[in-house]
This record gives sequence, structure tokens and C-alpha cells, in this order.
Amino acid sequence: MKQSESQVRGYISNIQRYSIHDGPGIRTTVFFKGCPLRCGWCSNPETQKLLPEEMMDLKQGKKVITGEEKSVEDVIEIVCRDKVFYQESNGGITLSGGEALLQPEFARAILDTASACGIHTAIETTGFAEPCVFEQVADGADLILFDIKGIDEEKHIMNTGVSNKTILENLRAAAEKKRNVTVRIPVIPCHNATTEELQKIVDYSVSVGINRLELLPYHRLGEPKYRRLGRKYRWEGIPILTGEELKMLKSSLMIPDGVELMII
Amino acid sequence: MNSNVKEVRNIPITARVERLRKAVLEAKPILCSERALAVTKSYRETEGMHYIERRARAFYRILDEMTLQIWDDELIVGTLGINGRRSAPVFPEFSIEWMKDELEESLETREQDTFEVPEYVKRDIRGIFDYWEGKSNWIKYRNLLPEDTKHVRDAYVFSRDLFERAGYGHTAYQIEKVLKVGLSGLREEVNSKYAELDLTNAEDLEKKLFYDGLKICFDAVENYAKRYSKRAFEMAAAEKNEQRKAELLKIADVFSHIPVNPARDTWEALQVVETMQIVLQLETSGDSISPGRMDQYIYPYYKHDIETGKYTNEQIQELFDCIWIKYNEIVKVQDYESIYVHPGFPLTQNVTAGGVNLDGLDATNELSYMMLTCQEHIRLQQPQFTFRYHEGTPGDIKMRAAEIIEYGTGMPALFGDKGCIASMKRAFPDMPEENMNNYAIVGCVELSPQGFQGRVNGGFINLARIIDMAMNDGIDRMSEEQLGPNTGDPEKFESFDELFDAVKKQLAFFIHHQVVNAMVVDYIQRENTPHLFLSSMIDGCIEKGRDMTKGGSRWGGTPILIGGIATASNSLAAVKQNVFKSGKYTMSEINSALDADFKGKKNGKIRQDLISAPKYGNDDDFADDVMVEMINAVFAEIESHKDIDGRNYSTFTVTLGGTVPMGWKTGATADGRKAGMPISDSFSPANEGKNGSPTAIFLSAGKVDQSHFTQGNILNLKFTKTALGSKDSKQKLMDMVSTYFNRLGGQEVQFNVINGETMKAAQKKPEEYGDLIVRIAGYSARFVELSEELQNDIIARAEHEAI
Repeated sequence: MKQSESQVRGYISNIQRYSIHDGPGIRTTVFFKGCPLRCGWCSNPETQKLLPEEMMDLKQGKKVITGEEKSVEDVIEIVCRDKVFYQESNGGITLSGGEALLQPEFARAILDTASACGIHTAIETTGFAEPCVFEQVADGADLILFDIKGIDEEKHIMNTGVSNKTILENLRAAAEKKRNVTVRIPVIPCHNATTEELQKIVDYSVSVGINRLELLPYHRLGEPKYRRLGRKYRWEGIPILTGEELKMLKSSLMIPDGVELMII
Repeated sequence: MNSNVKEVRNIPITARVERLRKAVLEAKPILCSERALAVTKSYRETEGMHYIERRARAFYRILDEMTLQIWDDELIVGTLGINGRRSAPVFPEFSIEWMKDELEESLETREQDTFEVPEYVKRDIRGIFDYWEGKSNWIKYRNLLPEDTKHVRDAYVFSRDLFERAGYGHTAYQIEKVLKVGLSGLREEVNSKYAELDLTNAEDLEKKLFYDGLKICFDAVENYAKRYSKRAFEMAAAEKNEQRKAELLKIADVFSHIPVNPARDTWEALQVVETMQIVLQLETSGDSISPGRMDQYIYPYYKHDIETGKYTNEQIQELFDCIWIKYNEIVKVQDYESIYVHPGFPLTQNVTAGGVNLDGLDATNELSYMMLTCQEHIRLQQPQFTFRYHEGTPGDIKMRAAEIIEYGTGMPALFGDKGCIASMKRAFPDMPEENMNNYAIVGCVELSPQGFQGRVNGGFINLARIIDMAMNDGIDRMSEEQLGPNTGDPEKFESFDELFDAVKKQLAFFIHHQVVNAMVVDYIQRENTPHLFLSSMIDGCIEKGRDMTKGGSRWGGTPILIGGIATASNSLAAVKQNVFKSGKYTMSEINSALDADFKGKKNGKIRQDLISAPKYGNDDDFADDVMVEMINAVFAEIESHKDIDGRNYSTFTVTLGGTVPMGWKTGATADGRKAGMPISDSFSPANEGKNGSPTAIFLSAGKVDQSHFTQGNILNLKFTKTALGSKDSKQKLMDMVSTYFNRLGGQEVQFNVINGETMKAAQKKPEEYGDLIVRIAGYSARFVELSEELQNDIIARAEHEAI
């Protein structure tokens, strides 16, 4: 590891070992702190703000700081510990968040260092960043798990706080460059959980050349965190989809030959 | 085999098996007095005879007098007691004293392992108390035990566990040989050894006594089989239903042939296994009689049956299902003290599937798949089901195993051949490789290479409590009694090394007394209750003319079972961190916090710091280094001893339900655990403090040289169902396990796949959760038959939900 690269620092929310839903094999997921989006259903609200913040700890009964500044070296030290498991399962590291693109130098340095250690790399991203920034990080990842939350721009602004224009453009650019991209669609009731909305996402993705898509069912495990952060949960009271409903939605979608769509 | 996998991978359950399952599920444990009466009668008649002959004659009488039952729908038959499907006999020659107190009421009302005790059974048992006064193994053991050893044993720092009050059991006997040559073959072997005896030689006279005993035992089992054949024939004659009549006639035919003669087909082979399960337990009172690698030794019969069209795969599956159910009928009655260590009727009859063959190549076959399906069909607490993984285990059968694990019975438990065989190599450097390759698991985790029969276990020892005594100058924190030696005022320790010296001295003291205790138990067993019939099926005994209780087996040894490993090492790590590294507290501040059980504001703060200290199971080098240093000291101390047969002592860990009762006697510990709470389970991380990711747990466990656990160790992981849901998740779980086995030297992993909510719901409505099976540590039990405290401990054990 280059000395300068290993000392790059950034804000991390959490490092999750034995992550099994963020790419192939057994992975370590590094949750970045800070996200430019404010999705109403977000299950990791503690990763939205860039800087460490106070959050209620239920065990201790008091507020504690969540998130911390770490160097690339700190992160890699933890990531490398599970190397034997990556080797046996074809796993690796996934940067998630939060949004890794918000700290591009830090993200890229982690990816490069992991690659140099022989570890497979992935980012899970909203795709919301200036094209050159997106490019800078994406270029260092073996796999991009690219979240597409909707095609309708107005709705996107209303529910995530940002326009989806750059996102869709970045997806197109990534596909054109033949990057290894899987589109991930969070299936969110009261946002995009209809055949019509989902079909639009599928169609757009396929049109730019994507052939692997995944549906991520909405869950409410993040709800208590809003209370602990003293924030309002905009998706309060909105019921989750049952497994059956999700399967029905999936089967209602038209998927061209050669395109794979899975429920995660 | 590959072409046949489809045909055997997923055979549906039959209506018969569903009925049998329901019947055993609904059967309540009930006490039976028939065996107790028969053995008492025999002992009265044989007063003054040589003890070997007395044992043999008692065995004959038991098998001659016990009523024979064949329950509705059964194809494979045999019962341990006679007054119900889950009927437990009594073994007064081993111990009966405790029954004087418990018979009248507590057996029926105690918190767990309750029994129905009919009035006539109470009357029968009361009637034999007088005869056994001063005669049982338990009393003889107590009388022979030196006072100083008794003092620490009775403080429960260690005990010999079951074997103070029962026989050994715990054996993968030579079932394959019995199937091949029958009892007649064993008898021939004895006869030819007999012919070689030179009775001018005292040693040979002892052999003669042993062989004479074996001959009576063979007569006993032959007679028992004849009786069964007759019984089935009589029932067939009275049976109106033609199909059932035919089945009963088949049972009669099976018993007219086996176990005297070699088995002719799969049905007969399985009936021999079942019959041995029954008669060996009736003889020895021992549990964990383990039928071993059923997919291997039944295979030749299976193959022949399929090739000749004698049975279909569906019929074979049904026969296997039938024996799977039979294992669940076998229950034993234990005293109030023992049930807390062994709650939930753990007969731990271990059956093993998978692994490698004698040549080290993959041994998976159709029956391996069928055994997994048995577990899917039956889903009860027995048998104890083991699946061996090696580097070449096919991915497909691992996925099938993961599907079965997802049912949440904690089974199959997974064993890694690489780590397990490394242990055997350490223990028996001269043992041929093929004996090791052919190992089976006995009981919970005991590694049993072919030809090995050890002294079961040297009892358990509470390591958490011993470590605490090193911090307290030998004073037991809870009883405030000086139990250990004075190892120095802890306040004066200037370095962690000085504290560690005290640990070593405490260890040496307690392990010495444990070895003395075990010696006395073993002496009483060999002088009073030789396990004759069982010995005829232990490799080496006939050859040497020596009972297994006298070291007749080819290879042997005695392992000591360590409890509270993580609690102990976390306590040391927390003190190392807070006293010797950061200097935040003095030893006496820690000690007064522990004495006060962390009550008070300052002590509460100390507790928080102790809990925040590095903990085993997080892949934290500070905590894991302490673990390695401590466990190596434990290994070295234990391995410095020899057992009654002059064989090596070694270590293993499977705490069973003992985490709870050992915890009761253990004051607050420096890992932040409060007084009286359960100590840590087996080789798993403790409940106190942070718990790492599963990979971190495996990496921590992998830092210890597990080959010193020559009889195995257990790593209990709890996953919620969501972590196993999809095929992809299962694949990753299996990859993780394979990494632990193939790269980190891991020996064993077992999973509880149940949501905490489910268990809490079961606590509220036990009647609706009769078939909820949980993994305890080494075996599985029905959740609702456990005490509330143990239930809570199981819920508390770290729950890993993949995010």
C-alpha cells in the first residue's frame, strides 16, 4: 500500500463482516457516512449526514456518537481479516452507505488497496455524483451494484430529494464502458412498487445495455433508528410487501431474453 | 452414485411414519420398574459369586424377564422400558439412593425431565431400597473418595458427571462387525481365544472369567431375539389385518435370524442396530451408545437390496425413518443434580454420515442423502446427527444439509474431517490412517476413530471459577470458602504474568483432584460393573481378554470437559486490560466490585469497563492471545496426567446444559458476568460483551490449536431463519463453514436456526411447541422440556442475523 494512499481518511458508519446480500460470496461491507439523497424509506438514516453524530444507545440508555473517521489503513486492516472466507466463497469487499461517491478519494483508495491485496471489490451506489467523480470511483471497482429508484423525475425529487437525471446518465455511461453493473431496484410501496414503475426501470436499464437486475424488498428495520436519532420517519405506517406480493410483481414484469431479474 | 441422487434426494414421508412420529411426540416419559426388579432378583441369587459372573447373569435375567413390546405400525422394534413408548428403566446397581427422595414427588413435578410414575412402579422401587443399601456404585464411590478430593468435588468445581451414578456408554461399538459375522461369529472368536488359554497363568485365568461372562451374554441376547421372534409370531396369529399380519411375520422372521447370524438385508441390518441400542443400554446404563457411520456400513445391504429389487428406495427410506423414530423413544431417568447438566433426555445416540472412506476419498452415497431426509421427516431430538465435511464433500449434499439445518433442530451438526483427524493424529501418532478416516462421532462431539474406546470423560471442570480463584487467593467467590490453594494476595501482583502463575497453580490443584475423583470412579466401575456384552463389540477386548472397563480397547484415553472457557479467558483479558495495561483500576477495586456483584454506582462503572474490554469471538488479537495462553496452560496441565489404564488425559469441550448449574456456583466474574448467571457455552463466545460477526468468531476459534481437543469441541452459532432463507444464503453459510474446517483447523459447528421470538412464544404456550427442538451444546432437546432459566440462556446466546 502506498504510504500516501493508506493515510487518506474518511467517515465511516459501520463495517459489517459476513455480509451476504451485497454481491457475490461472503463480503465485508463498509458503510460510508454521508449521502446526498434523503430517501423517505431509507433504512440507514445514521449514514445520511457526513459527520459523526449523536444517536441514542438503547443498551446504555444514553446518547453515543455514531460514525467515525478512519484511515484507509484502518478499514483495510479489518477487511483483510476475512480474506480466507472471500477466497473460499469468491467474496470480497463492498462499499455501501451512505454514498461512497461523496468521499471519492477515500473510496477509491480503499478499492485500490483491496485490489492490490487480491480482494474482489464492489460498490453499492445511488449513482448520484458528477460524471467525473462517478467515473473516478467506478473505475476502481470490479462490480457496481447500481441502485435505480425510479424513472419519473418529479417523484424522484419528491421522495429522494434529488433529480435522477445524473443517476440515469451515469448508469448509461457505465454500461457503455462495459463495466460490470447490476441494477438494484428497491421495491418501495407508495413510491415505485407497481408494475408500471418497475417496468420503466427495467426498460431503461435494458435499453442502456444492463442485463442483470435485482429487486430489493422494502423493509422497516431502520424505523427505530429514526427515533434514536430524533428524526421523523416519512414512511411510518406504510406496510411492507409480503413475499407473495413481491413474487407477483416480479412475474408481472416483462423481461427480455438474456436479462436476469432476481429477488434478493 | 450421481445418477441415483435424484431418486433418493427427496423421498416423501409415508403415512406410517407420520403416525409413528405423532405417537412418540405425544408419549410422556414414564418410569418402568421391570429392569430394576429383574436385576435385584438376580443380584440376590448370585450373592457370593465372582462379580463378572454376577453381571453376566443379571444381564441374562433382564433380557429373559422383561416384557416385549411391539407397538402399532412398527417395522423396527425394541423398547428400553415396557410401559410406554418413552419408558425409562432403573439401574439400582449403579445408583438408587437419590430416588428415595425424588421418587415420591419431585420426579413428577420437577422443573425439567419430569416422569409419569405409576403407583405400582413406586411400590416396586420402594421394595428394593433395602436390598441396595450400601451396595450401589455411587455409595461405594463415595466411601472410597479421599476427604480432600470430596471437599472440592462437592463444592462442584468439577465432577465426574454421569459416571458417578451410571455406566459409561459413550461408544461407537463394532456394529459393522456384528452385522457381518453375527453374535455367532463373536462367539466363535471367543471360543478360539478360549482354546489358547494357559490356566497355569494367572492372567489367563482372568481372561477365562471374562470369556465365561461373554458367553453368558451371548446366550442372553440370543434368547432375547428368540423371545422377540416368538412374540411377533403370536401377535401375527392374533392379527386380523392382513397387511399388519404380514409385517409381524416379517418381524418374527427377522428375529429368527439376527442378531445371532449375519444380517441378510437392510431391514435386518437396521433391526440389529436397534436391538443393540436397546440391549447395550439395558446392560450398561450408559448413554451415548452411538451407531456410527450408518451410511457406510448399511450400504452393502442397501446396494444389494436395490440391485436385486428386494426393496425400493421408498421402502429403505421408510425403514430408516422408522429407526430414526426409535432413537427418540429411548429416555433415561436421572437425579435432580444431573438433569441440570443433561436436561432434555440427551441419550445422544450419535449417527454419522458423509466424510471420507478408508482410503480418504469422498464417502457420500445414497444413504447419506436418505439420512438427511430422515432428519427432515422426523425433526425430533434424537438421534444426535452428525455430518462430516471434508475438502471433497460434494456441493450438492452440503446444500441439502443446509436445507435440513434450516428446519432448526440444530442438526446435522457439522464436523470438519481435517481438524478432527489432526486431533487423532496428535492423540495416536501410531494409529493407521484408515482407522482415523473411519472415525465416527460418539455422544455429542467425541471423536472416535475406529478401534478407539476411551474412558468417556473425566468429568467436567468449571474453568471460569478456577480463574476467579486465582484472582482471589484461592477463595471461592460465592461460598467465600478457601477451596483452592493460597496463590498470593492479588493486590500484590505486579504483572499479568504473576496473575497467570497463580492461574497455573490453581489449575494444577483442581485438575489433580479431578484426576483422583475420576480414578476412584473408574476403579469402582471396573471392580463392580464390567460392561461385558458391550466389551465383546469393542475392538481389542476379546483379543486381550479384558473388559473395556479394564482398558481392553485397542486405543483409549480420558478427556476432561472444560466449561466456561470464554468466561475464563475474557475475565483474564479484562483484568489484563484494566489493571495491568491501562492501570485504570487496581486488583482490589476489581475484587471488591466482584464481591459486591457490581452493586453500587462505582462498581457498575467498573462492570461497564470490564464488559467493554476485548472479548474472545471478535477476532481481537488482545483477547485471543489471552485465550491462547490460557487454553495452552490448561492443555498442558491436563495432558500431564495418565488415567487408570495408564493412557493419556486430554481435553474436550461440550458444556451441555451445564452452563446454568455451573453458573449458579460461580460468583461475579471479571468479564462483567454477574454472580449466578450461566458461564459460557463450550468453545463458543460468552453472552457478555460484544459479539463479533460469524467470520470473526471462526477466526478467533481458529487461533487455538484445536488438535488438543482430542475428543472434540463445539462452536454453537445461532442464526435466524432469514440468514438461511435463500439458496444463495445457504451457499454462503456452507462456504463459511468450509473455510473454518479446511483453512482454520475447525472441528465442529452447529447451528440454531430459530428466532428468539419463536422461543419466547414457546415459553408462553408450551403446549403448542411440543416439537420445537433446540441445540443445547452437543445435543438437541425439546425446548419445552427445559427449565426456564436454561431456555433464557439459549435465547441470550448471541444471535447472528446477516444484514
